[in-house]
Amino acid sequence: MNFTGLLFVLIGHFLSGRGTLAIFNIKLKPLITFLLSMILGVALLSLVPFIMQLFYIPITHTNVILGVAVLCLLLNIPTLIKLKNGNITMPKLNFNLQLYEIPVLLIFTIVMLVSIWRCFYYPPFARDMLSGPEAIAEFTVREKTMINSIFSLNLESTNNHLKPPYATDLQIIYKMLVSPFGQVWLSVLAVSFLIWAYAILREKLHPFIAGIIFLFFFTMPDPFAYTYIMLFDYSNMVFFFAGFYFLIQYLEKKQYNLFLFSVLLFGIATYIRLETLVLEALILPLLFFYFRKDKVPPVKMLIRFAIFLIVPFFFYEIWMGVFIKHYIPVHFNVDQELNKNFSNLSPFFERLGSMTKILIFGISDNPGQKDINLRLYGYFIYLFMLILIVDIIFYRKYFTLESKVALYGILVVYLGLPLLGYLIPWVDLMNTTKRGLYKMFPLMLLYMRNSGLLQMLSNNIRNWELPQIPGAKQPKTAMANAGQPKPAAQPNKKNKK
Amino acid sequence: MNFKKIILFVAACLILLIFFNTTFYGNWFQTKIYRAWESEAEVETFDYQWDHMDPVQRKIDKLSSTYTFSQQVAEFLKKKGAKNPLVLLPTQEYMKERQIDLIIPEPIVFYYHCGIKGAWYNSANVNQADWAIVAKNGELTIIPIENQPERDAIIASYKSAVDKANQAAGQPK
Repeated sequence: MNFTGLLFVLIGHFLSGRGTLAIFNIKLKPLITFLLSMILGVALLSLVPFIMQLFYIPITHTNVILGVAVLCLLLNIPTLIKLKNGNITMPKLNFNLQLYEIPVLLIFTIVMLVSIWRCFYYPPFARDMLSGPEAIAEFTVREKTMINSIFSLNLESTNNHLKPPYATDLQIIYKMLVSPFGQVWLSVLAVSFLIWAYAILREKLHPFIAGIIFLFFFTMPDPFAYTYIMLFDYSNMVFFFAGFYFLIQYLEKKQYNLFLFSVLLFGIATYIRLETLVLEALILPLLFFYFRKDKVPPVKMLIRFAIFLIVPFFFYEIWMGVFIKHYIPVHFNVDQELNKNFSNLSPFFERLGSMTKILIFGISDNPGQKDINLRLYGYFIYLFMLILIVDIIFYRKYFTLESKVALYGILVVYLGLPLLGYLIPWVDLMNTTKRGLYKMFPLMLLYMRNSGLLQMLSNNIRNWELPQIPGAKQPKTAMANAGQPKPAAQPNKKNKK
Repeated sequence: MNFKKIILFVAACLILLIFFNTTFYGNWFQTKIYRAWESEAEVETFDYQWDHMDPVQRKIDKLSSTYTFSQQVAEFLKKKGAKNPLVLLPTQEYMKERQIDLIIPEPIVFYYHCGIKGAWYNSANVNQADWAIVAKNGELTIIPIENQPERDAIIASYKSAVDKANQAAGQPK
């Protein structure tokens, strides 16, 4: 392990991510800013070898270091100008960690240390990586070009060499600068994302409740395994969720920069898995609904729709339309991969049925697939369903904009994955769909932080823990967002009486 | 220290205790996390891994026979002085038919592991293959391909195994 190289790359992630947040004028709490910078920085640095290849610059150790440095510098020009003008204030760090959060966070630390170690120690071993991105990255390091001897092989057994360059590029950077197996970028992404997920929960729920929900989230067996097994889906989930999160922020605050930032994040999700474009198209009805509600003029509305699709499509096209078509000496035709019989909708309904039956409820005649839902995702989905049902029955009026959009996002994934299976026959159930479902889980988390039931529990614990001082500032809750006139209207037990 | 915070701390500990004592999560923790400290498979433990940091050893431990097989082929061909060899790789059906328990990597993975090009019996450049992996007396050997009839015979033996497997599975040839 080259610790200097690791430090350089980590600083590169932070600076590139931080610079981008500043360009989009995204203002968040210091800890969230740091975490989001790291998450964003992972994707941004992955562009470096790809851009170098587009300009036929040899991918050498020195050039990669220079590329990372130049990217960080370019993305931080606005920040540097502000710094020169003295317009920057240092953030005040405030870790208000409570004693009762420590047990869950301790378990989280132990679990993630195991994950980080495995990510570092094991060589990449997922077949989809070895037969594509990892092999290309390994020979890029040796031959200094992404168009290397891998493309002189018999590639009829795989299409993984055509997958977008996200993982390939990160592997190139990490193999050159950090460790022979690369891969540690996945730990940077997973740890930053999970802490962000906890922070998101904690913003609206009492830390005690947030901890319990978080426990179910990070112990989901299959997603946990992919915090150290390098593949595309975990990263795809992170950026798809981040896109949704900032889309919700935009719908709540009506700040255009939040919309643009969310579009960038959806673009990155597409850059990781090209099929995400289909799911993003399914978000358009939601945008239409809110644009209509906000009386956005039709021309403006059309421009925003266009931006929403063009940015992800740009990421799609730069890979499929430019790189694969004009750089790689392998012919690939997307049309051949698509379903030819669009009039037959039965594959969609079959996939929807099998996904629901097998992956969500674990019902199958095949003994190997019985209860597979638990082996994959633990009880997290059931926990979400239970909370949702209780909310629908008892707390209907406390649904917030955020919870509604999160539910819409879950529906997009639920219907979008079978749609992908219908459009692209190689999108199978037990691999692509199984991991595609990950995208639902952080959205479920987002819903849960707004849940009327959990808000009620949180408020009860808060009131018990710190009896209200008249005039004291109340924490932001879903009930407050729902337009409840007074904190007294919050559904705690006392109020119910 | 607020007494209520201590109560919440105890409650959090109790919840964790209950959580990891359930059959499902207890089993998950034991088999996926605690395995790093104590496991029947020694290679999974921190102790072993800390003492075995060599990248080649780590590949052998994790990728097992697919990696070692590729390395052995490369070593053999290097000893034989083969220049730019193209190795005809057997199908998995052939391996099963010959009762050899080894997973043969696909050409791209084979190349990734050892830097030597491989081909399948149905690859476009199969007729350029100058080495082949064949089973003899329950063991794999690497043989040079001297001429086209020899190459055809090897391809036929691979293909026949695939056809038989397809027939057994009720699929057309």
